[in-house]
Amino acid sequence: MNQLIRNAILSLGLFVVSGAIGLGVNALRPEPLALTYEPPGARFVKSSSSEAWKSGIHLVEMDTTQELIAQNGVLVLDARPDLFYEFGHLPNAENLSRKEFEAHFEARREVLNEAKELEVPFLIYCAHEHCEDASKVAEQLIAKGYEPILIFEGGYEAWERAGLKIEEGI
Amino acid sequence: MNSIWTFRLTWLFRLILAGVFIYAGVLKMLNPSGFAGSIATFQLVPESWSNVIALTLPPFEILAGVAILLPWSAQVGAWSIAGLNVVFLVGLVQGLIRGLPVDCGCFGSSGPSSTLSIALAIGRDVVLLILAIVVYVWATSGKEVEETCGTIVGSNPEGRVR
Repeated sequence: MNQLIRNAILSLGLFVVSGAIGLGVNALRPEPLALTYEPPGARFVKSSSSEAWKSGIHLVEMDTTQELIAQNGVLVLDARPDLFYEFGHLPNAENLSRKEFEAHFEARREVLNEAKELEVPFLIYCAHEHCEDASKVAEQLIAKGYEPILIFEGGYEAWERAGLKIEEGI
Repeated sequence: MNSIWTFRLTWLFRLILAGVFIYAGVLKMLNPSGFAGSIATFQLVPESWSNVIALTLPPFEILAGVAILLPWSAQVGAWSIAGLNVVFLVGLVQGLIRGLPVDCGCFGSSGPSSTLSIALAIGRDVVLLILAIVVYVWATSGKEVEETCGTIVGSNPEGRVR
């Protein structure tokens, strides 16, 4: 019993040392992680605020997303892996997954260019509020000159939970 | 069980656990923001804590993996790994029960998870927990390992390390 308690205390010590190492390594990163968590979409928009394209990127809520999709006023992009896209996606969404970005981008270049010429915003979403895929895809699209970008922060999970229309297949 | 086999199996389990946890820890350390997002999906702790946990857990996994390989700290390593697995299991099971879209994040952020992938992660964690308990219980203190080593060498049983 004594040994069990001793090992538990030593393990706790190891955890504290780990915390110190983790914070130390983080402080040495070129872009340290803030100590307070923010969902990736919000963090991405905030971190981009000093860039020239600040005005070209926004977070959107469920109501706005619904409205824009109903009006056909956006090109909807699903940043999740294709398997998840096939199981279900938002109406009229194109799959531009983070994992296969270049291949998907080439396959959908025409649609993307058309939207860009018509100045139609790109509405990107991923699995849920805490996934990074939408922000990463947005980052790559912006680098290629595609904007304005809207990130639907709630993602597929919020859409599905609200019982809204879902399309299946490719 | 024969002590030589106990010794060999214990070492095999220690190598498996060390390999899995060091690998998982390194992957998570490379992408702390992705791991923080995974932690937030579990809704087990206040969301704002996710970054601090994402910075602390990966080094803990790596240190626990190294500790379990060293004779004098194997039990502390096993204890730590068992503790981590219990926490992971609680997170996964409650996520599954509550129908949360949990992203396991076990080997870095893996994106959306399905019920099947969560169930597989639970199965894997149960196996790892059993291995850690076995390592803890079986002869893992430095003294016992060294004694067993002496038995394996066998040419001079009296010459065992004491």
